[in-house]
Amino acid sequence: METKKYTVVIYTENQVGVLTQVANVFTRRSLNIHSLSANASAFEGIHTITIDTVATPKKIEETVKQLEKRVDTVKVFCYSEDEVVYREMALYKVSTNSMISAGNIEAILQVYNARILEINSNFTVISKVGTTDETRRLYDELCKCGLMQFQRSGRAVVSRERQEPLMEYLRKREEMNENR
Amino acid sequence: MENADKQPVTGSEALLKALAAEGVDTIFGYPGGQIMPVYDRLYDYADRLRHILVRHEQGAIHAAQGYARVTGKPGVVIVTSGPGATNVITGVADAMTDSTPVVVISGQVASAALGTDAFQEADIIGLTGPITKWNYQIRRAEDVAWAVSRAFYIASTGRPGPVVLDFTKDAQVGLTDFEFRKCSFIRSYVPELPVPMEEVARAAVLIDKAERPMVVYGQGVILGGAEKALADFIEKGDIPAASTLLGLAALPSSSRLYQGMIGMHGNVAPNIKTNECDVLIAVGMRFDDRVTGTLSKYAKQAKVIHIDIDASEIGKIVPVEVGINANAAEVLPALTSMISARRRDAWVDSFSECAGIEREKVISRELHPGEGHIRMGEVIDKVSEVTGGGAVIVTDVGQNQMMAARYSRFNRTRSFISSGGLGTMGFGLPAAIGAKMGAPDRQVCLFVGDGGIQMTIEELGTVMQEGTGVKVVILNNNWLGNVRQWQELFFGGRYSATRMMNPDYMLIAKAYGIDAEVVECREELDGAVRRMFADDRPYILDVRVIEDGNVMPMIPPGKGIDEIMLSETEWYEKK
Repeated sequence: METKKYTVVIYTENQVGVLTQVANVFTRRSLNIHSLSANASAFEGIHTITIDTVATPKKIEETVKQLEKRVDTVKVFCYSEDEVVYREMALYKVSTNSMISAGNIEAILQVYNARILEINSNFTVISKVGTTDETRRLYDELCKCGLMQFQRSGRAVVSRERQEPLMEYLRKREEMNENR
Repeated sequence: MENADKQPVTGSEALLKALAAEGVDTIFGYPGGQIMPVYDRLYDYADRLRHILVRHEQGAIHAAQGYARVTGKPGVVIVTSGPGATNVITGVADAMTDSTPVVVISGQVASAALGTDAFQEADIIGLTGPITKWNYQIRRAEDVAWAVSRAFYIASTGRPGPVVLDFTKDAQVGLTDFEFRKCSFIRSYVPELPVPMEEVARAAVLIDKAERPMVVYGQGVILGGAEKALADFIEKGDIPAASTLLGLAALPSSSRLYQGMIGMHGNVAPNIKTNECDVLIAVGMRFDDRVTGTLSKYAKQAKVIHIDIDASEIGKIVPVEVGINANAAEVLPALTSMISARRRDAWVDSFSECAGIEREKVISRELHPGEGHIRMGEVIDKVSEVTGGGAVIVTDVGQNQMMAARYSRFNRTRSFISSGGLGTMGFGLPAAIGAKMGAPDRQVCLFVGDGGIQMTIEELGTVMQEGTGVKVVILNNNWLGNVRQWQELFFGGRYSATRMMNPDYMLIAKAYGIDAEVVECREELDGAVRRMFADDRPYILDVRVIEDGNVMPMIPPGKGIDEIMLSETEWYEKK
């Protein structure tokens, strides 16, 4: 079966150890976690873990079910690339001297829609928000102008769905609790 | 009245109050440094909470599993930190695989010492994460009541499973107001969904149209309390039904439509018919590889209806036509009301043809060999005869387990306790102890090999101390029999590390003050079994069975479930 790129968004209760358990579900099925970000969500007490991975449709379906089965997992959403808008943030530290001698840095920043965050006599820090491909292309470019350090974040993702799916789900759960 | 008590209590006392509030009457455990405050409080609770001192923590967890399996209530374990807790890990994994509700409370170093490699510190939350349904570290006395009620709710609802509560020493001695509220809702946890009636209706249409429907059911029927619902369903539709290993005893062995066990050493008829039926109705089972054989040859002709409380099981192994994600106890009555009552005589009768071949080629050779050494099946059969099928049968893992599964007869549910999914040798003796504690009025009989008994033989100390009336039948063949069988059949008779030297079990029994006898020939068997069951005291039978006995029939690894060996040299011939 053919593999595809998926973004899995996992909403969890804010409990110690949840991240490990979520990661375990992936590693136990030999799924490589390409990027991961974990943050507080917009809902109080609920955290979001966003993971992108490559899997067959069958494997990802199974993984989502296993994730949902964890007691501290509130809800899991799985999206293919065309179902989400996402961005990553990348930071690039370049040697200030090399950058100046390269000469074309302003043009590069403009083309890539990147910004300078800090500049001093030793190094300059550049930031870029974009897709994995975009931050990667800027990386390639800056390698030619004395790149000293590079780091990229996991994904921030919103779905193309009309409604915030979690909000709807939480509302239903509350209803269920009241109707018991 | 617990809530009226407003005096602050220690976390340890809160734990015991919470356990009592959850209806716990028996605890299996072993004390140690980091759990001593709990044990100190337990001293005052001896009238309400019976503590069973095992001889090794693995014994505690398996005993709790046996207790849970026979009662349906969560088994409770208390152990100390570090090695105490790591010693229960095998059992926790076993309970996870076999959906057994257990709650383990492990001591932990004080929260200030966490992560410092303190004496007897181990990362139990990290270690047990993948093998628990839920785990939680209690670091404050005020969290005890909340965590315990949550633990019991999670362990016993939905698809049951093990929960570990890691209890730091400072939380054990810290003070809190005790207020117990039974947990019945967790926002992030949906134990079971309402019956999806549209899917049930679709299933009913499939079943009504089916000429050759068949039911395969597992432990989900027992866990959900769906035994009667299953019996009613198959009766109305006249649908033959077969059990997985852990589903055994959900239907009485004598039921008209009961066709035996499926799987590697299961009965010929249900295995063959799985590959002939037109609709396969799977109830509370998970298509383990020991059930399906080679998947590419499994029930390819059948439309599959899968009823399971665990959404992740549906479609995991076998593609389904209709998936019904709910409790079998609620699904089956709905389904029964929707299907038409009809007879399927020709189809039902066709099972007996296969069964007849098995009886002739396998069963009669095993149960009535006439001469030679005692065969394992004869021993099982004798126990069923003497107990009238009313005993709780506990097994270890291996040939003893398969023989017990094949030849035991059952007339009530929750009567077969075995380590199914994980296949944990050493499970048997402690599980039998726990089962007897949970069902003191029933006969509990363990079948165990000479290998498995030696893995947890220390629990004879528990039997001695508690006077637990378990009947231990050692099927002694001086081999690790199941591995030996595979070596004979698939590894060219190269018996690597399977020959086993045995201690004198009579001397061991004597050391523990347990009555025992050796059975060496067929003529002695009946009398010995009858003496064993004559009263309610513990008893050990060391039965010297044929050394190179094999469990047949067998679906060899890599084969489809209709490719069945009837003996070392003969295969079942498909029509």
